[in-house]
Amino acid sequence: MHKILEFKNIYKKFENLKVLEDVSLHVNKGEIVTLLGPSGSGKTTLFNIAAKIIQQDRGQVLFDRELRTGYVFQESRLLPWRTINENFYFVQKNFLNYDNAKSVMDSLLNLTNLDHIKESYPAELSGGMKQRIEILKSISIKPNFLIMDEPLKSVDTQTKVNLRNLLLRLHIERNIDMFIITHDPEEAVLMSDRIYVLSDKPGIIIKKFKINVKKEDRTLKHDQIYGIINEIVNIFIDLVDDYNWNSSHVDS
Amino acid sequence: MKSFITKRIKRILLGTTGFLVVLLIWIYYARQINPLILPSPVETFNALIKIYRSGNLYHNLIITIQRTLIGYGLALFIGSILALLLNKFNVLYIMSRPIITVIQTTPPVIWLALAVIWFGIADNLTPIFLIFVVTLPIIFVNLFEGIQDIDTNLIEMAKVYNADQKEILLDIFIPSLVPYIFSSLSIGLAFAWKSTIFAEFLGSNRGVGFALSMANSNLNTDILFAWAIVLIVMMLIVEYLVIKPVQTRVTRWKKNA
Repeated sequence: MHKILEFKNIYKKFENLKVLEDVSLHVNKGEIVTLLGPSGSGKTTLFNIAAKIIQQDRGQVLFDRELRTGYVFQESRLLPWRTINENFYFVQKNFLNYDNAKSVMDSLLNLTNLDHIKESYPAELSGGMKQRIEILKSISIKPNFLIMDEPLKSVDTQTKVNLRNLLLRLHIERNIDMFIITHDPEEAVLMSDRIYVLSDKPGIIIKKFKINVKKEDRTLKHDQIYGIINEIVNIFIDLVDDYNWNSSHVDS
Repeated sequence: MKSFITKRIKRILLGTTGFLVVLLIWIYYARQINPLILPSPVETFNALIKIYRSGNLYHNLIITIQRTLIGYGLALFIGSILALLLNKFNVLYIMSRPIITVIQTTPPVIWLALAVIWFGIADNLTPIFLIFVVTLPIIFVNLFEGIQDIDTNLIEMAKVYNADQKEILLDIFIPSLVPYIFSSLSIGLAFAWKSTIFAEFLGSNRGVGFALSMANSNLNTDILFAWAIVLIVMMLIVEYLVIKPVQTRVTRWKKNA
């Protein structure tokens, strides 16, 4: 198996707070891999390390040289003074020529029935709409790899299903591999080949899952899928229980 | 749309009415009072024609505009550099902040008195110095705040998509500063214009301010009124025909927020 992204023994501290401790994980060519963890478990820190926004204290991040990576931030990052059109072109221009960029953007907006907002400014769109644009923007550079931080967090259920299907289609039809960071077990299990579960404070990988059900067949009614989601939810409940028990113990 | 138009017409009508009331009061009192103290609108208009025909209007206005632009341009240039530097080096900021506050709170008349002593009244330096010193803190404070408010999330986003320094400057840095640049333009230019007139009135031998002071000493109250109208009209033209339209255009993305 060819690894396209690998985190090796990553450590990160902010002041005295340990955020990530000895985190190792990788994404193989042809895979969707998810890092799943509760809020505050250092998921976004790992995203920022992957995007080279911050530096790890120890450990290595290895990228395949052939990767063209699109990034989806947790909150949409659109230039408020540029129209949606221009926002796309702003990220595309270092990867595609003008004509190519325009045709990719047009087809993406057309595919998602969003042609009508091309000339709008971000302030005119709802939060969910902006997040959709953020995802489409990352795809608009014709990437072969996507790194996404809670990509479906601020969208409604219907849009969530649509975007999930769009991402899966892109993965299957255009061979775009993905590394997804999320707190949502359902999203993780429905989309991924493998899942890493992160504990909180400090973030340590406590469990790994491999999901062998074909992506096209995955629904919440599928026994194995349902079983894994339940198992993950129970892990999270245990984390909360441990925490409560520890704090009441300290109090008494 | 229709109610918007009627609202607008109403506003214009009310504004005009207010203006007409003042004009009527002016006409009424001008009839009863010596024109040396209060000239009538007609006398003022005649004085305006007189200074126009004599070439004084054009000559002095050009001098005053030149001084305003030079002093203000200098303040804009130095103010921008200061804002950038002080934003980058916190030690410099902590060192300079009290000095800037002192400059800001010193009454303009003190600066003017000092400028007359230092530079005399014969040339351009006194008015230019006053404009510079009065508008510099306004420009600095606005731009400094603007730089602090730049959304670093957008810069991070730009960097992950391989944007270089030039793109970050042109597509993020400058557009986010535009609203601040315009607010300092609008406030600063009004201050600059008033400062020039003030400086010329007390410490110069040319310019609109000087013409005002001559009219004042010679008790040519009609000419004083004529100049006052010229100054007000100039300021209104700059504010409503230059700054406001450009500002609306370059910040239209904010409209719908």
